[in-house]
Amino acid sequence: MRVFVATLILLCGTIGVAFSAPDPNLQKEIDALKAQIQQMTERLRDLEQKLAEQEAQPPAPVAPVTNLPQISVVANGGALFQDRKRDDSRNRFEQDELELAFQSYVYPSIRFDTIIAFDKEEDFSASVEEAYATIIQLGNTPLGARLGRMRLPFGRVNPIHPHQLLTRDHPLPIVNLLGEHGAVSNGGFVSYLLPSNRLYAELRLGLYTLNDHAALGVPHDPTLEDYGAGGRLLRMARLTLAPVINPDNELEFGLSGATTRALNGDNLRVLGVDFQYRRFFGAAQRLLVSGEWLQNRRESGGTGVNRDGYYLLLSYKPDRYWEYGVRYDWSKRAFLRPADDVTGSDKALSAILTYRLNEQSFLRLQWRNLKPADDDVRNELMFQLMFGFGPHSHPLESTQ
Amino acid sequence: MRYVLTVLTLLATLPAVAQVRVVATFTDLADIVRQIGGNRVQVSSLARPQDDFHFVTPRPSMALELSRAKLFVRVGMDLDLWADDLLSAARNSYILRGAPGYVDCSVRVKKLEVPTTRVDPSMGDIHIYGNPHYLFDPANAKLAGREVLEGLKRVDPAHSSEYEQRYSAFVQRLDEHLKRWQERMAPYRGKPVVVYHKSLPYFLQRFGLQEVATVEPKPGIPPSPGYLREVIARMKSANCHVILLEHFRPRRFADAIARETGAKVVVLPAAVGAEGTTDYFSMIDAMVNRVADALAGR
Repeated sequence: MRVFVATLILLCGTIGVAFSAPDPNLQKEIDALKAQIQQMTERLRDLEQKLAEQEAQPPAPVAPVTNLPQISVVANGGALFQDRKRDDSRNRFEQDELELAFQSYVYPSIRFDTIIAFDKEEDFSASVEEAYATIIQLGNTPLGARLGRMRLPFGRVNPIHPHQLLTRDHPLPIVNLLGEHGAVSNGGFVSYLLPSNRLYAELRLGLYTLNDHAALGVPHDPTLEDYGAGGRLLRMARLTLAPVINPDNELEFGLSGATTRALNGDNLRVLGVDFQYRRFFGAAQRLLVSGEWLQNRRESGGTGVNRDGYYLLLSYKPDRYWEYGVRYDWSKRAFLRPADDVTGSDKALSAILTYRLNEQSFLRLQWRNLKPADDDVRNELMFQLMFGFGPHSHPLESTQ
Repeated sequence: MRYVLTVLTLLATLPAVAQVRVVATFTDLADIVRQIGGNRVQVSSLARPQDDFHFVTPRPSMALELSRAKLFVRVGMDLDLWADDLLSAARNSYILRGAPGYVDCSVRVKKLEVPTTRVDPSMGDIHIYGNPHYLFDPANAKLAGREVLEGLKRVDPAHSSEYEQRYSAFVQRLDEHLKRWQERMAPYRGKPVVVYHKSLPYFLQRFGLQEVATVEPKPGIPPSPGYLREVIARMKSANCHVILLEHFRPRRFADAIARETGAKVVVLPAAVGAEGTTDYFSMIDAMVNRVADALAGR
């Protein structure tokens, strides 16, 4: 009996040990299977990723790949209605200009822009308004350059093409002191971008040959050609400063200066100070306040005459479609000679309403109350139609 | 000892690692860069969360950002065409197209709505390379992230393995979230929705929703009263009760339709930072939850 009980206890103990101790082989097999699952999961993820990438190949292009430049057309026209009955341009619809642009990179960091204009002043014969190469970076320096024929990068408004302005017309100080259609010149500038974290500071130093005499306040009149500087060398400098405030606010200041010599030997100098403040609210909503002061100086026989002018523009865009603006202009006229000098000042108040159809096309209505220094007060209603198609871009300073 | 402590304190105040400056065009892309670059990168976005994708005004402060960047990351497909003027102004040939620091995230994406006929403005604001809003499909974020990874490896090869690891972790996290998002949206497959603008085809395709109409008759063109009546009729016949619009769109047209149809207007955060979202995951999370809630009638 004792033997039986002892055997039974031993047997139970053995069975108990056999059932309670984990089988090391079993655990090994579990671990191996887990490792396999892990490997397979990773492999599956890799394969899925590869498959997604293979499936994601871009579709065959719908058109053959070409190396054509960006080509665009911009048509700027409208109508002028006014209460001054003896003006020839009164109550007429007119196409002002047609702009044909070809723009492309011609080298990894060199871009070429050609703007062919068909202007009503020239009976719509083609002329090159701008044709310049922009060297985005000279080597590894913060220097850039632009060479060719261009709107003089003087001030805030002059470099901008008419179809990019926030108003139908050019402000009076631009017309009176820089030129009826602004100043366009052949030449170039070197620009330096100051390496700063908190201040956008760009200095441009340029040399140009004025393309005709009708610039720097000299009207389009062959009898006044000697008072202009057509063909003469013009030196120009521009400093743009934009302190970084925050993503919702942008403030810019500019200082410009240009000097040249008229054909009759007079020294000509134009100075400009400008600013622009933009406040960006929600999507496409912004407030803009900008202004520019210009001074035109002519020195003749040891004496100089200064003439200055300014404008202030307030513009509000509540959404991507509408834009409302008000502008006040005050300007004297550039001095040429005592015989036909006008010493008074021209003044104008404008209200502007713009409806944007898309990024390149808009309709605009501008009312202007003009008080010329030597003529009757007049009210003008200007209607502008601007249509554009094709990829069209202008330098950063043109964005408003 | 005091000098040693001073030097150590000064050293401690210096950044722990030299960071790669990255500028992305949009906030969602900037966040993807942040996920992959970690503390090796310093990222900024040119567009603000509240900006309309198509109408970002280039300005000098943005050019300044780009002038110091080592990597420029864009959505591409002409969505951020406005950035080209900034690239020209930034004097940084290292990030120009074709240079090592230039990344177009659309390269590997399977594009939707690629025009097959001649395109002109009579069709509205059509993107000639296809619909560029591909980041609303989380699977495409992996492909965009892959481009970012390649870019970071090019400009900072010393930390390639770190970027690889972070990218793998990003993909893994996306896969996990994607599974959850798909489960959340599964009950609503095939459900009809109206969208404001053609910005959601990738999102709708991913989650199997059906676009029955757009509030805009053509991309970028505001609707006329006649067209709105047409949308209302289409919604009624399709039994559609949900109108989706991005956070920066005007609500008035969608609200007018909703008044007639009883539909729910769902505002979607279409950028990281909008509507309280903090990263790409929370942005898609909010989009999925809001759409699912609206389709469930909540």
